[in-house]
Amino acid sequence: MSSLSLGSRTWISTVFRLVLAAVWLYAGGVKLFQPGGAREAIIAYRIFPASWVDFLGWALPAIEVGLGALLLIGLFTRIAAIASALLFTAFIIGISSVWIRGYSIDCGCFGGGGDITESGKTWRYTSELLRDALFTGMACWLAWWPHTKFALDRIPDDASAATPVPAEIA
Amino acid sequence: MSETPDVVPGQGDGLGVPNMDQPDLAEPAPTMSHTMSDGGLDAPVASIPASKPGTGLRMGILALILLSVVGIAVWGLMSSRANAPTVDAQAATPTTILDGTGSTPWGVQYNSAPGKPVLAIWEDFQCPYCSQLEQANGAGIRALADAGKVTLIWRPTVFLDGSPASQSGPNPNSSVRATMAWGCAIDAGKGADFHAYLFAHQPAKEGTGWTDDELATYASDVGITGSALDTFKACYASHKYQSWVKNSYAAFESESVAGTPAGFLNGTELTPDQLADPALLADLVSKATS
Repeated sequence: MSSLSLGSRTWISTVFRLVLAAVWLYAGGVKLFQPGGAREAIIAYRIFPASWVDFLGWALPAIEVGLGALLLIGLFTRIAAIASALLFTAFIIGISSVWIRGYSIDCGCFGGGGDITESGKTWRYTSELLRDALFTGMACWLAWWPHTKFALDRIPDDASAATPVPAEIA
Repeated sequence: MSETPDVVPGQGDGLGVPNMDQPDLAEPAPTMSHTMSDGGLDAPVASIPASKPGTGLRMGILALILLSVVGIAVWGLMSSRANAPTVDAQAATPTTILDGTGSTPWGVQYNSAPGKPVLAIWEDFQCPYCSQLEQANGAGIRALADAGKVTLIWRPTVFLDGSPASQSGPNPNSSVRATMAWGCAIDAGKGADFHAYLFAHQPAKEGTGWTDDELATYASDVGITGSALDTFKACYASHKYQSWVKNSYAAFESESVAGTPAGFLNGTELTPDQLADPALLADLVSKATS
């Protein structure tokens, strides 16, 4: 990555930030408009005990929308990127786990959720895992280089802080 | 590391995005390690003022977002608690259908095999995989029950009426309507035939569902004719078994069943393969018997 200039890294980070923001806002938003939130999808994973699913059904989409909002405005980008990478990793583990256990479920990633047909199972799980791996990669990049354009993180704290002083760095 | 607070006061806000105006310094790149060790970073970063108006704005927005997240989650949980399906204990139930007591409340009892294992299967008539199960092993499952090796109980659910595909499809509430029609067909003594026929005539595209007329046609197709067909149509038109369907759905929700089909042999959930494979299921049933 050292071959990339600072400017192009900043732009790549900006694109990744906005793509991840769109992913979270869409994924969380769709679930919030379903009865029970993500409840059906979470039950289908057969991972959490019954007493958790009502709460998780609403907490998960709310957290997704919150992460999307932070990334959209570029606030605490690094923290939001790390949280995104962790959440995507959790989804990868969850999808792999149901696949290994032999169930046919819709990941419920963007609403919907529940069981799917047996045919096309391999393709479906593979594509879901590849997509989440891609998002994880983007989140890791953003956690590593959180400096982006159009970010609230960059609002100067005051006039003097807004002006870098190269002499002091040296 | 005792210097840490001095080295990165920008992290005093706890947010780990120091040096936003000098992003290169924020990179945890490997080559930074010796730069750090010779203390080269101390002066510039330490020069950022400790109290910053921009930080207050950021913390304010963060607090707003966090509050919204908690608020949305709590609101959703409360609203779904308020709208949770409730049981109507006075619901009319078709003949051979269980009441709200016992381990499989509101289920449809196909047969009775005392002392044998109980096989309970949750299904939604709009569920494609349930239709595939019917093709793969529907006959095998009924054969086990017909041979008296197992007590078979079908447990209807209608959760797919809430799916986006069904809600935007041409025939909303198809799962509820099909299950109500099934109850009327059970009264006519054609429950098993209607059950198999519905799955065999499930639309290829999930969420398409059935019209009221199609359901009435299916009834006559499975041999409900003459006055029995009139009774079926009156039963369906009056929504006689709507409360029963809702009760079974409430049981599905309260038991937190993970989708459909879901087969339980003496209360233990079977894998899809065990349920769909005739030989595997027969083997499990005989093991559960001994």
